[in-house]
Amino acid sequence: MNNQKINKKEIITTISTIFLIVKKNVKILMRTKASTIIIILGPLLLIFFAGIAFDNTNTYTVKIGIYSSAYNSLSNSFIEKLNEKQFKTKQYLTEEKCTGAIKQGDIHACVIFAPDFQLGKNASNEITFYLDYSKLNLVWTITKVMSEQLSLRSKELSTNMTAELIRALDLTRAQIQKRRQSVATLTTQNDEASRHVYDIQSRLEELDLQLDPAQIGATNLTLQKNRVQHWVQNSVTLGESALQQASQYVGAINDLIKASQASTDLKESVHKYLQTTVNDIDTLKERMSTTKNILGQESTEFDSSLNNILTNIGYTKNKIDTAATTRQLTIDELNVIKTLLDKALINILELQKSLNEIDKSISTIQITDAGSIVQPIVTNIKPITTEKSYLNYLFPTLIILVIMYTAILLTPILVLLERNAPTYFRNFMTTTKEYVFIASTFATSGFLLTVQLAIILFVATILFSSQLLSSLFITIFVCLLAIIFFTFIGMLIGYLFNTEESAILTATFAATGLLFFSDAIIPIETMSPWLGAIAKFNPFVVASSLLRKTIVLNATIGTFWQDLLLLMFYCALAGTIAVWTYYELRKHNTAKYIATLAPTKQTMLAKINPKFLRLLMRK
Amino acid sequence: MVSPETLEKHIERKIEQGTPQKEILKVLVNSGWPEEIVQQYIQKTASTIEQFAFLKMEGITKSFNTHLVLDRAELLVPAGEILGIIGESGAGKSTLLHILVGFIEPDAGDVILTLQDQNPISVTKHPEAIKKLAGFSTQTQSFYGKLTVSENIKHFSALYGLRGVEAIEKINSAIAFAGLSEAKDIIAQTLPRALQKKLDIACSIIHNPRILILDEPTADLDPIAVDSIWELIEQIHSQGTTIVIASHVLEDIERVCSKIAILRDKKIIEIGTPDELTSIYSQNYQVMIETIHQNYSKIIKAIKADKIKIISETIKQNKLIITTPNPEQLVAKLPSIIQKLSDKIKILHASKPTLKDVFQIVSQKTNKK
Repeated sequence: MNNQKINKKEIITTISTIFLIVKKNVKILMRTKASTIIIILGPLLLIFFAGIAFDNTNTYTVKIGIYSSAYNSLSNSFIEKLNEKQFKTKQYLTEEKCTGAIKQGDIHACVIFAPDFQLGKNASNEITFYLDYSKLNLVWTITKVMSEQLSLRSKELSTNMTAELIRALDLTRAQIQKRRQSVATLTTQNDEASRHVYDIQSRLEELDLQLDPAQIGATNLTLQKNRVQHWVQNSVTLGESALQQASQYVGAINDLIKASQASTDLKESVHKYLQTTVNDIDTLKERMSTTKNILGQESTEFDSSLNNILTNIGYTKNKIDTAATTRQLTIDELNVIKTLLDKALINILELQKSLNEIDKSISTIQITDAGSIVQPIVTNIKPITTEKSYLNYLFPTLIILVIMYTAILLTPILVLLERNAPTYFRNFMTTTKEYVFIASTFATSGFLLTVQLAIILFVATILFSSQLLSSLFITIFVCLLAIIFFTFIGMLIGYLFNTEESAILTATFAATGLLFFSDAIIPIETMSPWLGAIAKFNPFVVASSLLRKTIVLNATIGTFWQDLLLLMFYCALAGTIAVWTYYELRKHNTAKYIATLAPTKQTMLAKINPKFLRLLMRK
Repeated sequence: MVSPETLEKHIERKIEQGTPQKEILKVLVNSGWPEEIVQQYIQKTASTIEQFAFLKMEGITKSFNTHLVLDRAELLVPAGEILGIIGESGAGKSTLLHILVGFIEPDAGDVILTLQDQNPISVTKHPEAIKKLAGFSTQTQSFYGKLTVSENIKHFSALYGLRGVEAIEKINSAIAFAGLSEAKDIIAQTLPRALQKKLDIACSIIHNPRILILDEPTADLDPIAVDSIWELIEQIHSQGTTIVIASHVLEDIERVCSKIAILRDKKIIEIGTPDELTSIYSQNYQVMIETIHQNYSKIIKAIKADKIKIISETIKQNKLIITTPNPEQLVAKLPSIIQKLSDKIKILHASKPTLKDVFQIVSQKTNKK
């Protein structure tokens, strides 16, 4: 119970001490005129200038340079369009002079029309823009407005061309309808041709062009001839043999007779008879020889004739075979013709189908007005807020920007003012705990930023009225988180550096780094993928995006709680690092303080560290 | 052989310097003192000193990077005294003072805070223990220049945890005590230097500290302002506050401080009352002469011819300064010597050696070592 009372008393004392230190810090700051002006008027001036700068969407004084080697009606029509808007155009004699004028700041952009600028031809339908990308925000505006004007003219041209296209389509449709019957006739004719081919093919296939020499019997005839020749030859041989034997028998008979005791007459008579027989036999032999010769001749002639017949049969067979081959080829050709005819028929049917579809498609085109085709949807971009200026879109970024720069620059100054003040040691000597001083620095910075935020939000409430009021609570909450985070970063910088110059320089670098690494200048989407992915986690981006969601989009907390958690995590992390850094560098800072205590120690400390001497000399 | 009184003082000084008791005993016994008597004195003196000791530095060593500032320095801050710490510029006085209050952590050694009926506390380990008891006024003014006198005092009273009626009373009392009543609503940075210093001291005593540490309290102040500051310091001391002053303005230290410690060669080499220090280090007097013709070399020759003992002689700002153990003899003889040399005396002045002289002697001695 007693402990609880003591703790409660301690807490109250600590809070009241923090309050007193903050009050003292504010009092000191307020007694410095420059600080007062910066703290109170700074945000007001910022809002005022931002309001003036962004409170319109017009581009009053944009000057455009024009160059073309040969102006024609088309390029002149584009120039007229540019003149119709706020642009002031000026024609230049050369492309170099035109681009040079941008560099000299005479004009903001240069438009180059291709020589013989005309539609439909590659390289002749080009319009080249030269822009000064160092004026990044202006580039966007110029490009936007110029594109609008030039697209107006382009739209006119597109409308004309589209009208011509529509006319061509109408003509096509009429022609299709007209020729549709011809296609139908083509189908029928093709069908008939196909049928004829089929008939021819059938007839050809029916033709019998088979010839077998065996069936003719030419081979048997040769065999029979050989057999006859053989038998005749055998008969002749047998005859000759018989005659030879008969001669022998006659001779034997003659001898026998001679040897016999027959009468001479008988012998003579037999001899005579035998002689006659021999003569007959000789005659027969001669005849036989003649017959043999004749048979030989006849056989040769017969062979020749038979061979002629066989040869002719062979010729005939060849011719018939050739005819069969030709017939087959013809049938094949006819098959090809038939296939082609079938394909042609399919193509004709496809053609017919396509023509039908084209006709159908053309007939389904309901919008036949060229203007409607060129711009089928009429876009009407309206801001989600009622204001017609960029300010409302930039406002969330602007708030975070003010918070970031003020916190990151003001806090290190407060830290260093306190640390480098002669009171640093006296504060240590008091019974107040160190964490109270850390908390006081944080609270002072937080208080000043809250005052600035209150001024900004007050002015903004007048500017944005209901829109801001509807999400005021969450807006303030996000802003406070941003204040906490950037104050901790400022404290960290203050603890890390010993002089205001180096701290402010670092703070400026840090804040500018966060700014450039965000979507405030160029969209994150245009960064390289990995850089863009990292940039999304940039605390400045997270805070401004949260604020954009609450103020501009009026989103509910359910849609951005993750970002809110991330920002809270950043706050905790930055706070931990800042406090850890304070305690880590305390000993080092104590030594620094000792170095500043007595100027008489300059020489001594110079021996320790030349850096000390430089610091002391500067002081 | 010295008297028992001198022996007691000698032992007291040695103990305050942090010399080990065994060493004191050994030296004195060797010089002929009976061991029993010496031991008795040592015990008596040590217990008396310990009883009154408020802060005690034990073997403090401190270096910044490689530069050794303090090397096993020993110091006792006796309660109720005004202790002056003298030393050359850069000798380590401020470092010593900041170690004394726990702001700087020594590399070795400790600072022990002894309070009545309490166990000794290590200031090095528990610097918060001394915060309520100590006030510290640094050489540079440590207050907020943009705040008024009363706002500054009010702020620091709040940091000491003073609230309500108690705070108001103490604030008013501190303002009145420091003589800042008329300037209480003036922005601090616009005050004259003397008042700024007074404000600084007022901020240091707002919580009624038992010890007030002042680092070069009169630096850069005009003589009148210096006097007023010393007056204020004496007033604070008269209320029972122990005061430790570091300064290199030796005249002021000699005038105000009841005890003086000499910081030399990274340690406290001597401690004692101004008289003790001057009597230990110098029995000599300084005789200053200025003559019309300033024929000082002949005067010195003539003095030496008369066999008057001279320790040293120097010429400063056309004046001859002679250090001698026989000032009466020298002053008696000088007029006749100068007359013989056909010269006339313009100024003749004999004085005791100052703390400055002691410091010079000590410096010379340590340099010789």
